[in-house]
Amino acid sequence: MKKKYSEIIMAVILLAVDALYLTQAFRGKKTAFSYTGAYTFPKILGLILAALCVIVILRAFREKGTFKVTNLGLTALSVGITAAFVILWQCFGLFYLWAALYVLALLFAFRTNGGRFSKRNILFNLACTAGVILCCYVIFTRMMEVRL
Amino acid sequence: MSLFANLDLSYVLRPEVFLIILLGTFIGILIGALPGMGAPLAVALVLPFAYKMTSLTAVMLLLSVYQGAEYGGSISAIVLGIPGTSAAAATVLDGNPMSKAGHPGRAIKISLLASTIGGIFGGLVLCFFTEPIGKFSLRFSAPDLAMLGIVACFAIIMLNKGNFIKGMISIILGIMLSTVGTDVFTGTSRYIYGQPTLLDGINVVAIIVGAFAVPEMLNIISEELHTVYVTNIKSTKDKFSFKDTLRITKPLFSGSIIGTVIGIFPALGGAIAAWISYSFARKISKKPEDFGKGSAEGIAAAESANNAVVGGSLVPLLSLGIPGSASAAMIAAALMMFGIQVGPQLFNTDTKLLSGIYIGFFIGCIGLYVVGRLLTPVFVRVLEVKNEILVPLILLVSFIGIYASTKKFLYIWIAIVFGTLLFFLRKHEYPLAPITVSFILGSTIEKNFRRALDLSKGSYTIFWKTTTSKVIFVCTVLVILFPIIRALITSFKNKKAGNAPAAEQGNGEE
Repeated sequence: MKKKYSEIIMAVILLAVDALYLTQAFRGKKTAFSYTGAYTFPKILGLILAALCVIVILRAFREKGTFKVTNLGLTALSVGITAAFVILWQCFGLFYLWAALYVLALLFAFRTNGGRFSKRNILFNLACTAGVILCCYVIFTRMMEVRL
Repeated sequence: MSLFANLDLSYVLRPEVFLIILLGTFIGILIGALPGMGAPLAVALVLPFAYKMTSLTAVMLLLSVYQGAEYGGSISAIVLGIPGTSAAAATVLDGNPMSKAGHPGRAIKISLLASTIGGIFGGLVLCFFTEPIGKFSLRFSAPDLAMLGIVACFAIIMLNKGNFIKGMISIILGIMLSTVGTDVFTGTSRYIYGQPTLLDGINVVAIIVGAFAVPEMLNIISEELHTVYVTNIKSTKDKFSFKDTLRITKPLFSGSIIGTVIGIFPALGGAIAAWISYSFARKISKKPEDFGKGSAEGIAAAESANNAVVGGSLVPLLSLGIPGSASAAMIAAALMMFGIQVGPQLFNTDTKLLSGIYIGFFIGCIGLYVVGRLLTPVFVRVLEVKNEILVPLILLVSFIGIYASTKKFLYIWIAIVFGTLLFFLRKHEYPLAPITVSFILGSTIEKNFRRALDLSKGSYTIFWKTTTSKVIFVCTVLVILFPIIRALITSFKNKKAGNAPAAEQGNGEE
């Protein structure tokens, strides 16, 4: 993608978040006992951010070159696996089960050297996962008494 | 020093404090040694676990991690020639050649000694300067404090050579996040979107993990996942005698002084301190020609400076409530978790804690030396651990940390969503450190800004009324204008440089 467009898209996303922020700020009720209401400061912040985003958009038109996120697929997959892990943990509890699957899934996604599902890789990933989970259990559940 | 009059040694000299310092130093060196994972990430990873401790042990944990990471950065700089932290970049120049010449152990020992001396010097300045500055700052009124907060935020982006506008956006985003929750003046719930969990505001741990751990890990997945570091070092047992120590005395002390002074100013940080100290040491050295070829003085100058910054950066934090760096902001966040507001009020409310921090700081420096001497060979081996194994581990520990300190899944979601957004912002050259600093300072800025306007019945002239206000106002304007003027000068120079060849070409044709 052209850098110009990626810069504009990013600034537009920020503007959209800012619009949401400003909408609530301008809908907020005024207070009679203070010179500054609860939303006076957010209004100032929101307006400054909007102005800055417009400047970024205007400057983006002068940008040359291309924008590329290397390994975008793998990065997106990692975010997806992370989201799935948190959903499963939130819905069913059983932290250590989902955590083991999470670490294992990430290791399989990342470690491709010598074949993703080669015997050596499978054994290494399983051993690594077991080690991580055991360490987490000993440190967090046993020593720090964190209920997960 | 009234603080030392209130000193209760039994409060500090406890086994758990020693244990925490040793553990924190170990974690700090470990993470600092890994290329690309600096002190802020190290501090961010342990911050969530500080909630179970007392305020003193929590601060000691974070401080020892901070100190350890600053030293740890030099290990990969020396062994691999890749600085673990930006502050260790100057160490590469002499540390790596000395290592390549067959003396990695000597280089690491010089670095460790310099880091310890620098740390102790920074600690001394912390002890003797914090209280006077803090007591002076009690004269500051609401408008002064609001403007000081703004100065601190802008100082973070002032030296950033990147885009100033994007830096400002980062600051505004951080302050915006701090406005979520109940407004303390009116009791209005702001931006909670039906989530009662957000009534107390967004948990600082979620913001810190979201701003440092998640984008950093996504960045590694994107760019450095399969990077393999190979260390060919067989032994780190080179000798380093007392005579050798005497030879590096000058750069050790000049580095310590430069590092501490630079640390006091918000945002300058370890990298700038190390480079200035390195250049200064070369100027005053009897053998400047050795610099860049494995000079012991070069390593000592850079390393003493970047560790002296730690003590220096705590001076504005404890005396004014202004975090000078992202790591210092996280120490402020840890204190906030215990309901302690950093700043001049600490001298009235928490003198015991303050004196504990002073003493603990020195114990931390000694702990750094002990852990460094005993475990450096282990840290050298850790450099070979691949990122593809570290990333799942760090992500998992980050989420456990958020859950352990908040018991809310909402904050894990905030860290993931926020972290992913920040990953893309970072890819577009938006700096991330100002977000954390401005988030921490946001409520102070807003509170004092509104208090000032209420006092003046809505008149903005209050920001320009007293002499102190005028001085701080001028500083604020200068800090905001500095990057704009610099950008204008750079573009003017670029235009001139662009016109010059054309003119020359024109002359040639004539």
